[in-house]
Amino acid sequence: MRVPVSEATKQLEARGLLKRERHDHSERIIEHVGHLLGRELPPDLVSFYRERIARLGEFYSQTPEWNDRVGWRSPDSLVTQLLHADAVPIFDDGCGNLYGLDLTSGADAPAVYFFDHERSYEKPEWAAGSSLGAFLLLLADSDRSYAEHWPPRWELTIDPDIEKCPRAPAIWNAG
Amino acid sequence: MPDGSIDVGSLEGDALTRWYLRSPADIEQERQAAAAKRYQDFYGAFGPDPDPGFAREMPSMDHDVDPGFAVSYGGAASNSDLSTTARSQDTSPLEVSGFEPDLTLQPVAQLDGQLIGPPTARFGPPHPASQGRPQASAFGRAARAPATAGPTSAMQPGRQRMSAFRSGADQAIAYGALHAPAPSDQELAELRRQQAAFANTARQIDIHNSWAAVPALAPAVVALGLGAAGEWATGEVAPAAGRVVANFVDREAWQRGAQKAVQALSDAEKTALRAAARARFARANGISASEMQAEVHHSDPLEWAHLKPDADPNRLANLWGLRKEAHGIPNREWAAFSKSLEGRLPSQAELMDAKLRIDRLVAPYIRRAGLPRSNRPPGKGGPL
Repeated sequence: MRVPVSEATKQLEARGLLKRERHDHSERIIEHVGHLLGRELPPDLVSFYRERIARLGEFYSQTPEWNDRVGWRSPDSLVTQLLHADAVPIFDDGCGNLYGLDLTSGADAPAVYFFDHERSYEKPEWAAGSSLGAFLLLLADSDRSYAEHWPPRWELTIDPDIEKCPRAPAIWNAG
Repeated sequence: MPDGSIDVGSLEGDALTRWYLRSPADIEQERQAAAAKRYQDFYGAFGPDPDPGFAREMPSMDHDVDPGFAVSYGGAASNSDLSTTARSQDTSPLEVSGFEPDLTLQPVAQLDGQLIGPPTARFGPPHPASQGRPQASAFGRAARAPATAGPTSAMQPGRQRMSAFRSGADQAIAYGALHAPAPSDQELAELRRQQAAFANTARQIDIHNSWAAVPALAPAVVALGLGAAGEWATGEVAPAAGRVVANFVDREAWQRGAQKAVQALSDAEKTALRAAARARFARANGISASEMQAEVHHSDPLEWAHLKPDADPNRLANLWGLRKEAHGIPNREWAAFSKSLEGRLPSQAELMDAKLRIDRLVAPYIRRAGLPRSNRPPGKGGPL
């Protein structure tokens, strides 16, 4: 079940969990990221940048920052940090780890994976969402799931396809 | 012996053994007898004994006072002034030092040229060569040798060079102003034989009494024996079980668990711990790490948290607020540390060593609640 990014952001904004950037530099960001990655961006990633997502709950988006006077304020590594693993960072977890959108599949709805900073972001550790829209819904509820002791595999109710991600298993099947 | 004591060198066999094993009472009795004989020899030449208890009153004379100390009494000191002599003999060494003569060279016109002997040999009528010449200043000093007895010092003309020589059996051994007839070869051979017999007797007695050392040496022997037994049981020649028992390092709790099964934290556990770490950090600081433009850094990585089973990975001391750019420093260092292990598990000591080293690198960039932060990028003058 694919969840469009625009649909997910609407739900999250309605719940008051989404904070957007004040200024819209999405087109400039899309061009900049495409230039840094050296490839055409997946449609979901383009949608993600156009939604101007600044923060989702406690998690900050990994989006390049533009300033009209000084230019790009963020380093290029913000975008290319996972390029060795064919992924592009879209969120961090607040502890140095990254959620990266897969760039290898070439499909319309690439999956999102978790990359561990203690393992040097070497490879995708576990699947965080079968699509970018589903990932946003799962990420928004992740802290709440721990706080309220949700049952294991609660992610399947939101993203039934999470176990079908090609590059890494779901978190409960990971090591 | 001239004073009536036993010549030890003349003893052999059982007689020497009996002499060696004398009791302290026997030794004291012999010493008092010798002192009394010397007293009688001296006063016997002057008539009735003026003080029969004299010898008993000076029991330690031959120990505390130089035997040659009283030799010169026969000169200036009047032979009839015996009380003075007795008082002088009771004088303590400290008091004697007050009589220390002037050791600077004096022009000597006449030297008696004789070695001062034991008291019994010289106590008696004044020596003819010393008649009419004051002798009191000779206390504790040997009589001067003849002016031609030896060479003089080039540095101090007139001073006798302190040297010993022996030119033959019929000549004399001289040491400074002292000289004595050189012993003959037969006398030396007899002396060596006596010394050998004495040493042999002493060694035999030591062997005979060696059993007395057992109680003193027993504890050391027991300790060495236990150590040797332990070495045998746990050394390289020991069976494998013995070596395992002695491997105390492997018996540490954390290593025992690590060897049994590497129960590292699962990804789900680490994700839960990270969520809890962010919540605990925000609760402790009154502000979340994200609001401080920081990330929560585990000073002790979760990667090896299972090697410290008794340590809470989310203890506040282990949670540091670091800006993203500064978080790259420990990430790189820990990655290098992990690579250096080549797949093996680190020890707790290695972990602590790396942690302390990396903490020092990261400490300047810790973000603390309440401290102002810059909005400028770190690469453009802003703090990390």
